[in-house]
Amino acid sequence: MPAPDDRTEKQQAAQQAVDILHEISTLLNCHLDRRTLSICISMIENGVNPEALAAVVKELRKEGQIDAAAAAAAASTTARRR
Amino acid sequence: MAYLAQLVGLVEELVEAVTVIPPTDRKKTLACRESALRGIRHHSYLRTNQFEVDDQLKGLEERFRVIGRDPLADAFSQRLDALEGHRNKYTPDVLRFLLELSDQPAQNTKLGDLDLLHQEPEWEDGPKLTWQEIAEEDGWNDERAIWRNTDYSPSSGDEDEEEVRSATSHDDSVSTTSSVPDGHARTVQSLIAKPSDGESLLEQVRTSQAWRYDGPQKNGDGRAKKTPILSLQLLREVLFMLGGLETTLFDSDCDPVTNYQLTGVSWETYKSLVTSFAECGRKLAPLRAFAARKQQIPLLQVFQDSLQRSLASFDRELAKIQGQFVAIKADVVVSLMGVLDELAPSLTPLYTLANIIRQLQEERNPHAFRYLELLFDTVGTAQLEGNVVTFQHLGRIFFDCFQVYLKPIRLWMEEGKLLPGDRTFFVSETPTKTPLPLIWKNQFNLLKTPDGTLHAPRFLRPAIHRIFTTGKSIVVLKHLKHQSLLRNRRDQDEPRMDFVTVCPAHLDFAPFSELFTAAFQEWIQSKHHTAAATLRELLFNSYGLSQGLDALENIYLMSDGAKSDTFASAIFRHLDSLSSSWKDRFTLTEIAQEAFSPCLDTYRLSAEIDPRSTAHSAIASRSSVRLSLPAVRLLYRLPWPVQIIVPGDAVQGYQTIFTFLLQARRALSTLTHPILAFSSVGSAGSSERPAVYHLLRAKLLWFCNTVLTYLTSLVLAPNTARFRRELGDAPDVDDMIAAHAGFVARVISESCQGAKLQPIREGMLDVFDLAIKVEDAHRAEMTRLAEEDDEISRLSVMSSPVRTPMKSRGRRSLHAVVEIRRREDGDEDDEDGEGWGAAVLARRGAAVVEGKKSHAAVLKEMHTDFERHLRFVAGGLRGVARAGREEATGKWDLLAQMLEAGIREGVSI
Repeated sequence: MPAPDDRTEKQQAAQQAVDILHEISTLLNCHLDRRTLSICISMIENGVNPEALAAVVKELRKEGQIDAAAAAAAASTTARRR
Repeated sequence: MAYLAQLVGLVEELVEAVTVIPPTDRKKTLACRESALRGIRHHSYLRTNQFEVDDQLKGLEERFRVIGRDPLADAFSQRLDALEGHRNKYTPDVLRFLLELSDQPAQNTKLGDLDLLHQEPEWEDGPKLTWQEIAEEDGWNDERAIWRNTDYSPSSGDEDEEEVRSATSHDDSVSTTSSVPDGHARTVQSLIAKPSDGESLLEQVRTSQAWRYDGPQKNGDGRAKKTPILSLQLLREVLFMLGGLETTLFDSDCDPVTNYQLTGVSWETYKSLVTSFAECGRKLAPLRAFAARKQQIPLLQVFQDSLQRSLASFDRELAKIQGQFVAIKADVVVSLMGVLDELAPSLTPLYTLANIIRQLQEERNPHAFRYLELLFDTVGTAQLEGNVVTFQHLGRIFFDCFQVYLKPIRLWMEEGKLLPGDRTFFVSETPTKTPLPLIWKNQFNLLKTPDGTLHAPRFLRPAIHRIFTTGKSIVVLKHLKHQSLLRNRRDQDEPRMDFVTVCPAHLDFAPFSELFTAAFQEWIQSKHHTAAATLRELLFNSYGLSQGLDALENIYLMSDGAKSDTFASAIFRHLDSLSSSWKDRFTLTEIAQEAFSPCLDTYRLSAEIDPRSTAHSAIASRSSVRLSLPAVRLLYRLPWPVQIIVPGDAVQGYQTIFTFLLQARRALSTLTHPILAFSSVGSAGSSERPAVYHLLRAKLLWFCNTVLTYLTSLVLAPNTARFRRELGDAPDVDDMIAAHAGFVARVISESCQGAKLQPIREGMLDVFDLAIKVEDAHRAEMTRLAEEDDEISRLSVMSSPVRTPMKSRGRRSLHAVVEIRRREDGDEDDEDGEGWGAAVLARRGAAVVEGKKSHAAVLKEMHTDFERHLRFVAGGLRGVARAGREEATGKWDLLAQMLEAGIREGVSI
């Protein structure tokens, strides 16, 4: 049946594209792992503006870093207290 | 709405992937999600400008090159080029996104990360297997054999050496773990074998065997003393000796060495014990020696194999006994006498076999199958003695060996072929090619030894003849191209010839030789019957044996009088006319074929003349049956299968009978068919015709008829009938040949043609000649009388005064001369004018011919001759009949009686 073959071919093509984009993102030092990248690609394909998305990702990273720092500080104080 | 829901899902995932918020902190997740959504939905960015993106990418690449990171630039451009193949409408957006997120790629990007990218999806392998581990696992260092150089030469002997000693002694096993260090280098050090912990065991073994000294031990004062040994040691030595191995206590001839003595037992007792064991060993020694020799002939090989099996089972017995002492499961008493008793039953068959071997070796040049004969006799003896174990053991061996002996027999009887180079079989083939009719007699022979006995085992002698004929029948059938017929008929299997079938348990009391003979007869019958029957049928049906014999009877034995008469009278006409054309074989052939044409295939018939008899002149040939008629020979060409039954020399016998019959017929025809009729039954002749002539003629006629009657009705007819009957009854070809040969011999001897009755035959031939002479004389007389009458009548017309009265005798003789001269001219007419004149002149000028008797006197003389001959023949026959003891004497007696009737009635004048 031609339809599943098409689908598999499309899937393979999409995979390859994602691979290449992942390599490019590595070359550009974007700190993106594959999963994040594919999510972002899905969002962009759904019509999300890339710049906006980039801003959101930066925002989330900043948030994550703050939380990580706070957690680390809390952990060190509890360790010191003991 | 769907779009929004999807977006929310994606945002949630994004949040989860990017931030490291634990999923329990739902509030935080929600807050992030909301802010992300807000950021995505409400923004003031413009649409992506794809050309700008391209410019930016190109610029970036240029920047990489400018700062000197060429590999990075190359990788980058390569990836971009690859992406060209997968471009869709969102690709610029994605690239824009990536560019936004890029974090100083010119400085921070490491190409190694790219490689790490590709390595991530690989799963973790298990620990790799190394050769080291395999070597340790398999213990390569332990197995020394691996490292040995293999010797590929044909003789390899040292592989399985039985360690018999290991069964009884507790040898320590030399440790097989070497001290070679793990690794590949083998140094000299590594070759030194270090016994690890067997030292003490070895010492133990050494001390236990310390009693084995090479020579006799010396006493303190130099005298030889006897070394004491234990009974267990003696037992062990005995068992080894019986197993055929070297021992210290017994030497190679199984004689006990006198240096040792059993402790606690007196010297005599010990000696007798050891001697009895030595006896056993000595009896077995030839058996072992024979079993070890190499044999070439299959028959001997199978015998050797049976012996080896018997010896092997005996060795197993020995091993069992040894096992009792070594692997002790129950209490066992070390008793030498007990061992002797245990072994006795197994030893008896072996003793008989050893006996056979000894007998074989004593004979000079025995046949290969001599041992079969010896085995046969021994089995019979064992059965009679009631030795059941020996009987069964040897019986099985006998039948195993006999199977091999049966192979050439089977091949011979089924295919008619002989195994090349087989000297044990009793049929041999002549190397030259024999002509087809002689195949039966000459091509195959039974081999005989120089002293005349058949080259076959004694117990097979009765059956040999049938085996031989079966094979020959198959060969003949093959030549007749009918062997396929035979194969179809052979539907039953041959009966099995092995011990359990031939000597079943319920026939214990039947003698073995009888059982064997019966079984073998049955076996032969299954093969013989079909071959012989097929050949017989073929001979009768396809090749016209009966027709051939009928033809022979017609021709040679003159069984059809009319045809024979036609033939004979044609010949006699030629003879009487003094022409020599009867000597020509083509003429003869023509005459014969014409005469016999209705009753046989004329193309097979031909005639020839024996060249020795052609030297006689025509007159001589005509006047005696002895000179001309034996030269006539008829040949009938039989098909070659029939010639097997009727060989060439038998046809000679037929020929003799034929000649004799022809001679008798000649005489008879001369008497009954005078050539010249009485032209003038005139006045002058009638008174001169003597009564003697008629008497003589009548007697001669009677004699010839008697002889012919005797031959046809008393000799030929009954013998032919008997022969046909015997032929019909004969089961195979040899019997048929014998029947035919017997028939011919009988006929020849009864018809007085045999060498013994030669004088009587000559007497009969004399009588036949006499008959011709009588007729000739009478004819001459008649002609003379007729001429005289003519002359008288002519002279009475002419009335010449000058006429010398000649003596009637002289004139008669002149007439006879004229007559003969006329006949020589081949002139059968009565008178020729000129010849007649010349004859008269000749008569006038003729001198007196001396010493001729008158016609009557001649006839009287002939009469007395006849009487003499008759008496001689009859008396001779009577004498031979009384003196002889053969079958034919009765017939001779009959003939004599018939002839004597003539003598009694004879009136002598």
